[in-house]
Amino acid sequence: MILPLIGLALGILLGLFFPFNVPVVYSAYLSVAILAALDSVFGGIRASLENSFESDIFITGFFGNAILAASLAYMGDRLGVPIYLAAVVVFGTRLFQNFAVIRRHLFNIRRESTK
Amino acid sequence: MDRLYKSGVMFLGALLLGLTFTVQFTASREGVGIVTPETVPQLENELHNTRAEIEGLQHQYGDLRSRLREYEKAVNQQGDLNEILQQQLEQVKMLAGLTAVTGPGIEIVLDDSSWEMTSNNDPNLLLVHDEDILTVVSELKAAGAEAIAINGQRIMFNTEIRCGGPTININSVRYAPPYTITAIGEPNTLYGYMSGRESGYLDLLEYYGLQVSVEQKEELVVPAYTGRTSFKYVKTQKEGE
Repeated sequence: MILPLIGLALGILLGLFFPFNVPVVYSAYLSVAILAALDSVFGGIRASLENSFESDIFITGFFGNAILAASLAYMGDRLGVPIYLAAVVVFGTRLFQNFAVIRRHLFNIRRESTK
Repeated sequence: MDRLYKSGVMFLGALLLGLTFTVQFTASREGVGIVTPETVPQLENELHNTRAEIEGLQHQYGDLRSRLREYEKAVNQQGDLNEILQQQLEQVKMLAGLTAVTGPGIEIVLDDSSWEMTSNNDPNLLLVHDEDILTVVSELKAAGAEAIAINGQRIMFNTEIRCGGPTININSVRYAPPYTITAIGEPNTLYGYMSGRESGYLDLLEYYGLQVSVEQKEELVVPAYTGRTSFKYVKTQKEGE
């Protein structure tokens, strides 16, 4: 549980000194991909709390979702339909659900340890 | 071992997320977003404006270049400089409204309503107001009028059109209806702009009962401005300062 947070902090720190910039054209798609990745990480945290974490599922989900979300956004741009909204809604909803589950698990752990 | 591997994967995932997030966060401050159907007209508008601006600047560039060439020519043939300056002075005076000008255009006459006052109608709607004249003048300018006068008062950069009770003050002179607005410009364009069904404002005034007439004229005279012409506070800013 702590390790992902450390990873996140380290990543942010690294990003501050990252020498490359994303081309403006792609930054919109990257935004959607980031949302997908965020969802995957939350899902991973939840799974590890439930002891059902599987690394291959995490990895494929992490990259697969990000790529799918970005390409959907691109496709939507081309077709003139804001399909990226689908990704935003789905991943957004799942983020909140995962967060709710994570909270419950954390409280359960605390209760058991104080018992 | 397995646990460690799993935590490592999570760690790397979170690291990657943090990295991309920060890169994106620091990069996309320029207001770059996803183009949605709603933002398309806005962007088109922006593009259009920028193009118009570029065109204007190019035009200006051309003007300045030709003026430079004139000066150069004048320097080559000594003595012509005076003439050119004289010409320019005339032009500037014309631009400023300090000379009487003549040309084709339209004449608009606005007068209070001839409708009988009853308890049903609002007397305010039956009068020509300062706002009405202001709007008509603005529309004339938009239609490309080059010189405008109201009852013989030249419209200048500082001309006020202001309510003075039953009268209207223009260039600090009181006028009562009817108001005759003379505008020099392409007569057909001005006429079309002011009297077209779609153009609105004069139609609206007529609808409220005001007496409106619009006439095209072959030759109109717009007199010079006769008021105060000196500045008290404004100074020229030297270029390059």
